[in-house]
Amino acid sequence: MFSVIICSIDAKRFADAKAMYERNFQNHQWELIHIDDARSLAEGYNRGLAKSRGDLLIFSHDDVDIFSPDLPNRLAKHLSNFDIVGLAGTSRLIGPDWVWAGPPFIFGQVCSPHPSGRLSVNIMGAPRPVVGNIQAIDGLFMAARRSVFSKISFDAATFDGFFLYDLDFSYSAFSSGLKIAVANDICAFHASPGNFKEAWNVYAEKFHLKWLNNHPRAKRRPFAGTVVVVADRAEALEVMTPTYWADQSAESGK
Amino acid sequence: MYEGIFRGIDWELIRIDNARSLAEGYTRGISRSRGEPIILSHDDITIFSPDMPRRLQAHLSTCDLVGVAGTTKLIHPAWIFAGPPFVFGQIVHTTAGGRLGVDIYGAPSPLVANIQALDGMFMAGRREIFERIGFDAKTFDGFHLYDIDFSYRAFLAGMRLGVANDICIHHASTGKFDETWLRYANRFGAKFFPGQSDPHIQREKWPFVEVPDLAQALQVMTPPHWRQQSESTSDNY
Repeated sequence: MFSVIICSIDAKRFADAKAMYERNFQNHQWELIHIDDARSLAEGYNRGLAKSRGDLLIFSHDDVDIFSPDLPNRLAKHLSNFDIVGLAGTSRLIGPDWVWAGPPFIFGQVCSPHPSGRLSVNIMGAPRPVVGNIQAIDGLFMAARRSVFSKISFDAATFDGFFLYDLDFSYSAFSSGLKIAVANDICAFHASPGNFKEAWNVYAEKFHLKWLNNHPRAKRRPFAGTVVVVADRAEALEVMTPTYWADQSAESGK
Repeated sequence: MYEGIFRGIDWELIRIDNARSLAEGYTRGISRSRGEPIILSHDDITIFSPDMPRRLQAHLSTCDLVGVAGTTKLIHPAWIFAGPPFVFGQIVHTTAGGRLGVDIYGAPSPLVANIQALDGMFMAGRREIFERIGFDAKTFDGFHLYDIDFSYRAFLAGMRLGVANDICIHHASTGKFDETWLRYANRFGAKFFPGQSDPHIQREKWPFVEVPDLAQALQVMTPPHWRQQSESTSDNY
């Protein structure tokens, strides 16, 4: 069973997220846990986790909209191969932001609003439907087996705000030997881009001290990412389902 | 550069120093050549990845024509206009500021198949394909679009085209969509897409990674996920 855990203080956003997961989990066993008074995302997720009964857990932002088909089956399949699955992340964490390593070490594809009113498809890297050997993932959507939490949990003492809890959680999983992947076949629309305000710097420093203290301070590698502007979600789905995936599975099936 | 690459291997170099057009020059060069396979190369590229002859031979065992940049969906005389995820290849360019940058059009695997059109900076194929398809030196009597014309006709004739992402190239020049290019683009449009209005062009941006040197470029252009891929199972894991 899936447990979907959402921390949200916005009634409209929560209602939209609820409707979206109801649509996605139609005819599947699932539960929704709403934390409406989280002191931090780490604290809220730990509380949601304690209340949950599912063997597969989803930690989701309240402004994510998954529009690719077959979410329960795709996710269950990925979680049979990996401990944790996200929609964006890196195979090489060099600093307190997972994108810093740049291509070809970042993966995932996420749709966002474009100033023109159309949609941007941001393709970090989608060489195939699922990419393994991931070190850290973005918190917009994270799914995990319950067994993960016998080894690690969200560090609500250090990350007592709304930043870096995701990187800390996933990097801690990676450091414990758990297997993490980015699913490129789960297509999400994310209404809000990353918000790197001053508070982010505070938590970035905490993250650095906790995990990267023995490493020289790295900078974001200079790169520009892939953005494809599309008319609607149907076109986004086409862009986010590259035809070469089919060639690959035909090739590996030989 | 090619002498270094082909050291110890039987090869020949044919220089055409008075081509009226690239189509005409390549046609003349091919008729003078004796080798198998044939490589058509611009004079401003540098191949800096190792093992090019063996990699090329391996790709030519599954593809009839191999290039280093191209598209699986030709919707416009400029192959790049289909945008990701329909464009492939990775090429190092020198930026206006004199730095090096890798344009990664698309490199999900060392070789991408089902290509419809290839950029002409580097193309290789068996002699048969060049003799059978031939260059259209009459329509493309300049230095543009001869490559898209040739490779697209090869695709339409049922040939298998591929983009090799493991042959890493620094290209000293970048594509310029100027008036001359536009004249040949119109000829290309009239030849292949007559009566069609301009297609919807996606506003695309592909990854560009700045690197200090070619060694770093090679690292960026040899993604670790290629290794995982060759170890993957039929489920793509």
